[in-house]
Amino acid sequence: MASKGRRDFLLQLGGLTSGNASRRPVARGGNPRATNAMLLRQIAAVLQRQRPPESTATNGDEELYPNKIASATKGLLHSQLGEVDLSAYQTLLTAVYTQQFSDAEAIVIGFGRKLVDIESGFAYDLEGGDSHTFTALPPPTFASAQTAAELIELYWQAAARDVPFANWSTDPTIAAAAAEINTLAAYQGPRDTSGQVTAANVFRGTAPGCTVGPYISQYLLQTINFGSTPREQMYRTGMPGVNYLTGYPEWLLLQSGLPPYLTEQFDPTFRYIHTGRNLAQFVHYDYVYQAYLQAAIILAGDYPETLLTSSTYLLSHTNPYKTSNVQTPWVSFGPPLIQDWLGRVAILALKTVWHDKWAVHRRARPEMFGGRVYNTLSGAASYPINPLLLNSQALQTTVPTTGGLLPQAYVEGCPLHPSYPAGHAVVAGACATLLKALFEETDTVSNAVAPSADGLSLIPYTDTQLTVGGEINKLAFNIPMARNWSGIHYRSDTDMSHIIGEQVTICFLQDQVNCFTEPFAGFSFTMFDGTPVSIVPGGGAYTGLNGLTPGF
Amino acid sequence: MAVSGRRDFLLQVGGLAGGAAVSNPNLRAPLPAESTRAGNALILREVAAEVEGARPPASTTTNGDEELYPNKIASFSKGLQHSELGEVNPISYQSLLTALSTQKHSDAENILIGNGRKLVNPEGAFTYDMEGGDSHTFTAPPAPAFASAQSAADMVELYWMALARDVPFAQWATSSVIQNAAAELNALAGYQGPRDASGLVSPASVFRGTATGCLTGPYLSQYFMQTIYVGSTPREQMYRTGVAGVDYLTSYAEWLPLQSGSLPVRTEQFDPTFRYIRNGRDLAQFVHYDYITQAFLQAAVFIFNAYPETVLQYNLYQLNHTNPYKNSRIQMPFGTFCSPHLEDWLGRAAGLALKAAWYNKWAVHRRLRPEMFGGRVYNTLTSAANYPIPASLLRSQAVQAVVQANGNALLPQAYVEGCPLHPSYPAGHAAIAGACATVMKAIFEETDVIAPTVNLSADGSSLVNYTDVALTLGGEINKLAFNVSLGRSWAGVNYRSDVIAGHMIGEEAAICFLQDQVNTLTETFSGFAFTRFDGTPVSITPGSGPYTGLNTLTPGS
Repeated sequence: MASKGRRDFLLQLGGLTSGNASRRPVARGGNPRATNAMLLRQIAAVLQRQRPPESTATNGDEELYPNKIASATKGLLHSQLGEVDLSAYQTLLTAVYTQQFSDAEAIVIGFGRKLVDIESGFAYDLEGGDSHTFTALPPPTFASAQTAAELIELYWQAAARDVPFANWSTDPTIAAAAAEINTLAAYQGPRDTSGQVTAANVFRGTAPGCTVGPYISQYLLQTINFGSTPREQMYRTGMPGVNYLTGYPEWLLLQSGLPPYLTEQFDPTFRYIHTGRNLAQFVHYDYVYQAYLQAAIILAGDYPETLLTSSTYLLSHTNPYKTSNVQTPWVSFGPPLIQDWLGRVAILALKTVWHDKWAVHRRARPEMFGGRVYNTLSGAASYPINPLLLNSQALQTTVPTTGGLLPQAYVEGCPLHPSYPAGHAVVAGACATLLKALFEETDTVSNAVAPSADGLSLIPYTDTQLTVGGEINKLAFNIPMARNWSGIHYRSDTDMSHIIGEQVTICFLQDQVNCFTEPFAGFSFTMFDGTPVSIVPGGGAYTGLNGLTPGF
Repeated sequence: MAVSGRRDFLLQVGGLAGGAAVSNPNLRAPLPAESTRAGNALILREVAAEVEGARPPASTTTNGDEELYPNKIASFSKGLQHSELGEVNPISYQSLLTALSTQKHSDAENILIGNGRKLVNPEGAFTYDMEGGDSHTFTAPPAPAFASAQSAADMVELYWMALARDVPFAQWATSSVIQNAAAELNALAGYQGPRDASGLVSPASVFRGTATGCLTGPYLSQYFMQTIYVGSTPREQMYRTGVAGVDYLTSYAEWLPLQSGSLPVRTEQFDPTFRYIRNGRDLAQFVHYDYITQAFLQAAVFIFNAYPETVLQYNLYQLNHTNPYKNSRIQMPFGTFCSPHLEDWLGRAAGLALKAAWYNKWAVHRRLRPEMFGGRVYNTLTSAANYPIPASLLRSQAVQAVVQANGNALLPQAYVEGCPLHPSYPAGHAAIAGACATVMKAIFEETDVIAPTVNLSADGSSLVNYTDVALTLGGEINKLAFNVSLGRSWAGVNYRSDVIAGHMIGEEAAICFLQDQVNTLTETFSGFAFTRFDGTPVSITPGSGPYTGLNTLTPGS
């Protein structure tokens, strides 16, 4: 199709003309470039407008339990049982319902810690799908077998926090965890080809590559060249054996928003990520796209000296500069664009789940669930906790030290926003999807390593070949599962968030794919479930200016 | 108000309705009939696109050097084919011009490059984006002409920076090299750097920036010295650096093949010990391979999180006074108005600024790099050629000192490969710095005093408390912007005038970006308020002024 004809077609599709070429919009900037720039944005806006609104169906627990035992209430006032003050809860609901900042400021909170940014779920943006068009399906209910399976996994993770990954194949706690989880029909984690949960796949992710090779992704292990300076990935970690919120008085005060009064204890030695506790601490204060920026830096240049020849071999096969003899990618298709985009998809993803967290699902955190277990076991209350959990070996292992509370890796326990979907997981889904769109998934990772049992060295890993795509997927599970290692998220929080994050990035790329003037086949990558995706400029539902003569 | 009516109102406030709509009724897109969140989201984007679409195209006026010199001695040509004099092959240069004129990838791929190194992304000049001003609406004024007093001053400063690369900041007050540099720059009318209150360039002001705060306190910004908690892990700001006294492209035989795109034959030498940034060489190496927003992301992480333990109390005191959460007792900012927002915005503003810089570099100005200018000085002094280089440079003490040190007048480079393969003006690092610093000033409170403050010990091996004068957050952000940008001058790859133009474009790109973004927020919010590099206050208000949107409307109505 001639460019002019195609443009008219696009405008018509975008609802920007009635098909009459003489009614073509013109930017007031007055030149063709300005008109292109404006139309590109307006067509994208109109096409993203066609996304239907999300479903806001919930699991019904909030209505089912008048005492709100399954709802996120941390930071509000609670009774001695840890049940929320209902009038305080109503102030939260009012603010969420009216979306008024003044109502949010009128929420009746507890002992001082503040709720995390309810309003960000209502913010808009200038690209991608609107944050209210991504559906988070209802989470498992409080009383369900799936929630029981999730808690069993979390109690086991707490018990196994200090077992070095290097020792998993022979460790009795890991073996017991895998054996019990294996019996749970509602468990949503990976199983091997015989359908078994084993030490080799327990606590792992379900995407391609997640059960291949070491537990930790290469992108959390390999040395990163931050600018000119190589940095080994040795991190501060928590003190082994030290958990928090393990006594009821501590637990109860923190539910009502008291800042923690214990001091978090750290291992004075920085270590490679060698245990669940170490992984949990990595995601305690990480900046929003830290893990993925680090991965992108590893992927974009093995070491700075290679920049002289600009190693483009790891770029996606669709990158128009992959085989150029004349140009290196930079502003377009190069590292600056990758770093820019990581932040963009991360924030779009965060806004989306913040809406789902506060305005739709309001699921209680595992920490609160542990309190329900505690009070049920002590006879102080009788909550409809699934017998699978109450009778589990995981819980029996934990009760002697906590009475049923879920031991936390962070001194403050979970943050003050609802559990479902997970913020770290949605950022993981969005950023990992972006990395797969920009780098070549099928490439093999060279110089693979695994952490030693003490976390003080890296050991070459040669058992199986690891791929870029597999290790990106593994990273996308390592990060949200790290929040499970800390005791603050369920596996289903991760699974739903990955789907949302993936969709957010796909919409973002549908806008961006039309911003380039290079001939470009589009973005091509594989979703977490193995489905191939292709986002083509000027084709499919989304379309724009690519392929048109610049300055038309 | 119905959506269509509200949209008219917004366009009117934005100056886009009324006359414009009457004269061009097709300006507006059809609207969804219903009044919904989705309708709001659409209108916000459509209006922002129209408002940004009203920006006039950039002025493409150049300094005229490309037309003035048929042998293109003042034009960027590194990576193309060159004669023994380092003058570009006219056919090779024409192939570059053709690609830039047609904007076709196929023509770019047909550029006649030299010995193998590739040009850095000329087509990045033509990329579009979804927000902010279009990259072709940002004007870099004409660069100083090759034969001008200002270019001469730019080069004299760079020769002095090369000579002073290893002088620790802590010893500047007594260093003879620094004193001589300050004295000579002081005498140059074309020098655009800062002068003290008496109009003098002194060791206290030489090689510094011109924005508020740049002359206060240590040369290096606090954000380049203080320990940063990256996630949970504290990281001292000790970096890999080059080896003292080891410069590159210091012989003509090394210089010439690199102009034609040969890979460097020498191996870059690094100090095996990581160090705090003690001197110009250390700073130059920081900006050698830094990722796009590195210095500013590090600063943002530091400011948000002086140390992780405080996250529990959440230090909001450094947030801008306009931040709606600054005084909230109920909510902490996060996805809006806090760290994820800023960490995103740094990359976005930087990306937009870089696109604008790339457009100006390749499609408009094509200024030669200082490295090539050094070759022109070399060939003029050896009489191999006779180029119109001002005497203030040719006979400068700076050039004489370099000739004395190296036996020739090439500009000594800190990087083994010399400058990158894209034009000098405006500088990419400076465009990023301008954008990131501006976004940071919009988010943080510029007037806050930093406590505690530090400086490097005399030998540069440790941090010591610094108490001489109070340092403000805004001043140290401005200083950081100049540290990063002038870090490239310390390396010998950018002129001060590249930095000034880069900052200007970056600041403008960030302001346009914020003008779009200010309307995406639903909190009650008076807008962004901050100070430009030149001290001018800026206020970006939602739903008013030339830019407008949904902020003041009832959400979801």
